[in-house]
Amino acid sequence: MAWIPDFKSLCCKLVAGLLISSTPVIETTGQIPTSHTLAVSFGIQRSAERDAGFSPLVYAGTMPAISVHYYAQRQKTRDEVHLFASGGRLSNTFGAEMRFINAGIFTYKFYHKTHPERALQWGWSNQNTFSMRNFSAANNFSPRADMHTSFGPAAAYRRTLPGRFNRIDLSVVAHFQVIGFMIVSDYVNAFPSGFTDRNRSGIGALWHSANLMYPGKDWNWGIWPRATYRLSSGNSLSLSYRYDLLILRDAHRSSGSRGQYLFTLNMAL
Amino acid sequence: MITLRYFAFLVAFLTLGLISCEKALLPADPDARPHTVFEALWQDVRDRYSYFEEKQIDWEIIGDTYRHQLDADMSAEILFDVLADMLFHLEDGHVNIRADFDRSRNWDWFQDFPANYNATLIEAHYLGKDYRIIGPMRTQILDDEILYLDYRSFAEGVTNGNIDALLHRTRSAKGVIIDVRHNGGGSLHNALRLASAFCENTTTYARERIKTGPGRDQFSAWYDLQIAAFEGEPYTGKVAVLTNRRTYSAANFFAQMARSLPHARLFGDQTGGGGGIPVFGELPNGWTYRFSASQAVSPEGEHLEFGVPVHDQVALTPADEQAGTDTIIEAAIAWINQ
Repeated sequence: MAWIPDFKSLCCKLVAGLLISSTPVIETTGQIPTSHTLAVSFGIQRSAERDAGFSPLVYAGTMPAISVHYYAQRQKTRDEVHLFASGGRLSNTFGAEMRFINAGIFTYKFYHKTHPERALQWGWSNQNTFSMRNFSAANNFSPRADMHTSFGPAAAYRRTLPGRFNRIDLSVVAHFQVIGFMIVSDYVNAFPSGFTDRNRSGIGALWHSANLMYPGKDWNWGIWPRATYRLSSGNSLSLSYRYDLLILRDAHRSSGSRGQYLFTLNMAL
Repeated sequence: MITLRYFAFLVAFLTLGLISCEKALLPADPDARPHTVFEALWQDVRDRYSYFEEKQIDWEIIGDTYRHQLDADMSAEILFDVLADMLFHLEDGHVNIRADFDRSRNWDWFQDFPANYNATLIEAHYLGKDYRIIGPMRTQILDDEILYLDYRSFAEGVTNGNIDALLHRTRSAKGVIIDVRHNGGGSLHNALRLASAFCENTTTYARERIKTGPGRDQFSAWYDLQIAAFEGEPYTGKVAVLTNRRTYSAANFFAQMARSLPHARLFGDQTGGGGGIPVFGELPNGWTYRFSASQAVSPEGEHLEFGVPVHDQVALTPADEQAGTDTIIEAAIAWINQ
């Protein structure tokens, strides 16, 4: 089946093009940002993780979470960049433990023509996320890990409360992603498949490790309701709950259901 | 148009509705009934165990045999015994199932053979009281300026400083005896670090491949396992490595490394084997297990799973043992003195 590598190569290039073109960081379309905001969040993450490469059981628990956010409001678009990280110990119903690390970068680009105050905005989202699971009962082929970069539509809805509550904004951001790349632990090996053959290395091994995410197989969705209190200084404080569900199917199925409870300080730049 | 009231309600609903539901939004854990547990183990072994062909094991028949012994009301201990008996057929020291109350094993690879080892004798007549402890190794200069090195577990780490100290002790030695009898393995890195101290040129000592899919022949390509040339001055005099049937896993690999060095010679009994790296897994009832998921062969193509042969087959005789002499150490001393 000699056509398969060529097909994979073509698909990968197509998806790579989509992902690169979707990345809103450092916008160069000539739109001058009307406002910048930098934000820092602290909170906790409740995670439930299952990696069929080791166990059919869910490992769940609570861990500290931190994230940094950047918002750029422009004449026709709104860009958001979120860097997040969390890590801690999870356990299954029998008390067995797993050390879990989750980190990545999430970007959104919303379009509003010339009305930034418009409540409903549509756009695109992109994420590059890394997760590592170190099971205490596994001495070899551990830790297992996955890294994925995916792309999909996003929507945001924002409203300001009326009357004496008019300093409070309510918002919800949601995304749904079904296409992208993933590099995950192999069938047995903790390393991705391209590295299982040690005759390969570097870029070649990385290339052979990359697999496509596509509809019907892998997916991720998330929703992020938020309440923000605007201070008279121009800064603001937010309380939010960021939920994310990820399913990756490769040599084994891995899934993660993660909710972050965040307190955020937003600083106008 | 969504009214503000509805939107506020939506935000509150999403926040409160999802809070603490992270686990609930994943499919529930599988049940822990005996049949579910049995099938989880049987299927994973079927898909990822690496030595069915080499050991001529029909896993389907074995599964049918033990599946008939299952009973929905059986106790955990009886279920454990059924699973342990099933795994016993793999004849592999790297296969275990572990529960809070027991750990299954197949130790036929050493229990059916002479020990060829007496720790008390070695301590009394070879190590004495003034041996030096270099990291995990006990070392003593024997008569005739031969360095005796006793390393019982590669689970205990050896540092570069330990290797330097060891090599310093070899400077005036006319030979080195490395005793890895009863060494049940541990970390391959420790074995490699020790072997490297005796390696002048990077040497391929074995080839390995790992399961990459459920098919019997779904493996990665073979890749070379190498001992890195020592960065410094390695010891290139005679090296005798002593093994017995309890030399297993990483120690088995160490024996194969020694076989690949031109100035090393193996004495004693063949090693117990353990050529597959065990992969670990967990069952729906929380028990954990492991089994071999890779293969390793010598450069000549012999599977290390079945042990590494020695150059000189020597048994520890009862008469020597009673006289305070280790026959295998004496054979190594005689070779070094040749």
